[in-house]
Amino acid sequence: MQKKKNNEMILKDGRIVAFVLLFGSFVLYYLFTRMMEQGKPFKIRTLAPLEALPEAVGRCAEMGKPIFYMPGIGSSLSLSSGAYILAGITILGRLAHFAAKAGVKLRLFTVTIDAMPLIQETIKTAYAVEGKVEEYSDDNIELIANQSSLVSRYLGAVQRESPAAACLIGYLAYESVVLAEAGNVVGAMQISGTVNLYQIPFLVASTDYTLIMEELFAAAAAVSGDAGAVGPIAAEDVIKFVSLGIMILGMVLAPLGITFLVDLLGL
Amino acid sequence: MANQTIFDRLDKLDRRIYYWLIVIVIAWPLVSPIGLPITVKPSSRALYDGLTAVQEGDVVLIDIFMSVSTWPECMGGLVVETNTLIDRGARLVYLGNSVDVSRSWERLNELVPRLGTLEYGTDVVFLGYYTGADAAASQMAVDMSSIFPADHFGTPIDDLPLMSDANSASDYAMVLFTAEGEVKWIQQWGEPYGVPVAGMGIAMKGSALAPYLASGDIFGLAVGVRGAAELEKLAGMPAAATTTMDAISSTHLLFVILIVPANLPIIYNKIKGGS
Amino acid sequence: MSFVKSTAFKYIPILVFAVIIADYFFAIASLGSVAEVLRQFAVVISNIALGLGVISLLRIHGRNVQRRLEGRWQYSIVTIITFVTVFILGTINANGAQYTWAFNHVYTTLQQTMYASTGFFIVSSAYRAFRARNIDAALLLIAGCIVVFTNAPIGEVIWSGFPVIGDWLLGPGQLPGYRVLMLIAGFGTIVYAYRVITGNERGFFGGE
Repeated sequence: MQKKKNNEMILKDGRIVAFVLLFGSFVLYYLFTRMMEQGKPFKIRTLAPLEALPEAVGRCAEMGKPIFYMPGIGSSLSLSSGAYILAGITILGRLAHFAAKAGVKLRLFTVTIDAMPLIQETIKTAYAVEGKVEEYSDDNIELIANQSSLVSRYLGAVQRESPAAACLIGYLAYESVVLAEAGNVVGAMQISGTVNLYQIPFLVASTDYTLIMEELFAAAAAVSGDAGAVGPIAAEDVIKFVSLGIMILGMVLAPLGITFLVDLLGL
Repeated sequence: MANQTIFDRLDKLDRRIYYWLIVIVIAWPLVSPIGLPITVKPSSRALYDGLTAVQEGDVVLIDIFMSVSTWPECMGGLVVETNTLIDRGARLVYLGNSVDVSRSWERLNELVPRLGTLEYGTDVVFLGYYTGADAAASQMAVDMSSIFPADHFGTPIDDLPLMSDANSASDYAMVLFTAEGEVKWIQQWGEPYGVPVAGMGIAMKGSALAPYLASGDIFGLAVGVRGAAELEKLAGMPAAATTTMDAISSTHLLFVILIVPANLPIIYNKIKGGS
Repeated sequence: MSFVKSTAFKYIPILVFAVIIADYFFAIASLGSVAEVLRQFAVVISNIALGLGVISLLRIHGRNVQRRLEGRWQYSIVTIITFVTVFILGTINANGAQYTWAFNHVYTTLQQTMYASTGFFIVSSAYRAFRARNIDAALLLIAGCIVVFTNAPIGEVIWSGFPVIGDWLLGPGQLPGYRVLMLIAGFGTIVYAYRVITGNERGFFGGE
């Protein structure tokens, strides 16, 4: 874009296409959200880990054991971890609902201090909806100082209380393999989910069900069910197809020495 | 229980057995080193070449993101980086997003006594801990003094001659990350300002960092203890990481050997025709 | 407060997003200044969150002690005493001998111990997971073994082909998959940003 004589706004070099794509995405998200609000039924496909939540709670009810939940580490205000912790807490809401219904004790371990009010509110609301608000107790929600302390506390709690199921859903780091293995030692059914790329192999190997990458957001959207959550997920499918098309086109053009696409995307 | 075969026992092997095996195979090479040769990977060589290409007077930003728990993996490499950059006459600015960064700084000074011989404030500065991750990195690219009005020791930034020459991204020759936190430097310094980015990652992150290396977002990468050992070899200063490689070898070998008893029950069941 | 939450708090994220994004795409000097201030706000808020964390921690553990919560109140006392001790030492002199001792001989040791325990859990997890139950698991097992030998010098001693295959697996072998995952993570972040600026993300409002 040319610099105008009266020094009006100019687009920085190399960011024109990014600008167009970003706001094009927003327009798409808005359109799909509106379509859903007007009745178009976008449905998120069945996610096995989400379907396994009632099974996990049922197992705990049968065995008379608690279910453990860990929504990840980090801060809910952080760019790197916030979105995933909040997604984990959304899924916690559904789990709390099942746990309240079945009379299963839900024990939660977290280091996310800033999300504590939200966690308490989420679980309390689930119990209230089931008419069992008197069974809710803040004592079942443990706030731990930091990551390493969380590991040792969780390990001890698993050994002493032997949960029949455990959920590790949120932003997970190195503690994921330790916590998952702790659950395996006591034979707990485990459901996990994270966006941290390098933790996914550990979780897939150690837990029974895993939400991989964006499935975490999709699961949170499926749980909340509202148009503002599901619409953008549906729009993302369109964006993914467009991206795939660009990649295939690039794969075809690159060996032919045609750099038109690369030049275009670099604008 | 009475009819348990050896394969059933292997299937449910008490984990304490292999925990003790791990302890033994880790301890043995540390007590009695073997000295297996280490081949240097191209990514580690690229990192080292980048360090040796630094010109005298260039300012290098080093992000000590590692906590004390990742010292075994990354401290060796950080020592090599620091020594190499001092040899090149670079000026060094250290900071960190980890709460124990001051402890890592002290440890670095213990392992690199030459750091103490540099003129503090002119050749080297330790800015200390910062919060804000991406927002802080983005703001530092524009104005370091807005994030660090003083260094870790409380000296006002204006009293540090080095920082007057290095207040924004364009003043830096490169950024080196340690353990984690590479994404914010790539996104906030590398892409917008073209500052070369490289560094070390913990072993877990090796795969996750490979795409950045392949696309050129980082110019070099040394991963885990092996990466640190490779840097030590390139620099000709074998130290803790090199010694640890023997323990890595023995543990990895045990790991693969344990796969045999782990799979014997499956093979046995398949031969028996069971599930 | 409800008006503030429903109106002002809803539009603040939109405003901040607009300024920061505009600063990224457009070269406008005045906008850059505003964006700088907002970024500094973000850093200040992160620092405030540290203080908030301390208050929350003391409050929750203090309540555990007050109510003599079974199985936990003793550890809460330890937490509070440790915190207060280190806090006082650090306030008096953050470079002092006592504070440094606490850092070196307690914190460092415990941190390294917990991180080191990961290795044991990885092996026990692998012993259970690396089993060739089917063709997919067998391929995973073989690839895992090759990569393990690629990382360890002994692999090259056993067979010189290990590093060659292993480097291919760690490079072109897994790059396409990882790039796709990173791309998807990026899309997810953009969706989250959209939800924040349109007011659909109520998580940090305490769920209201």
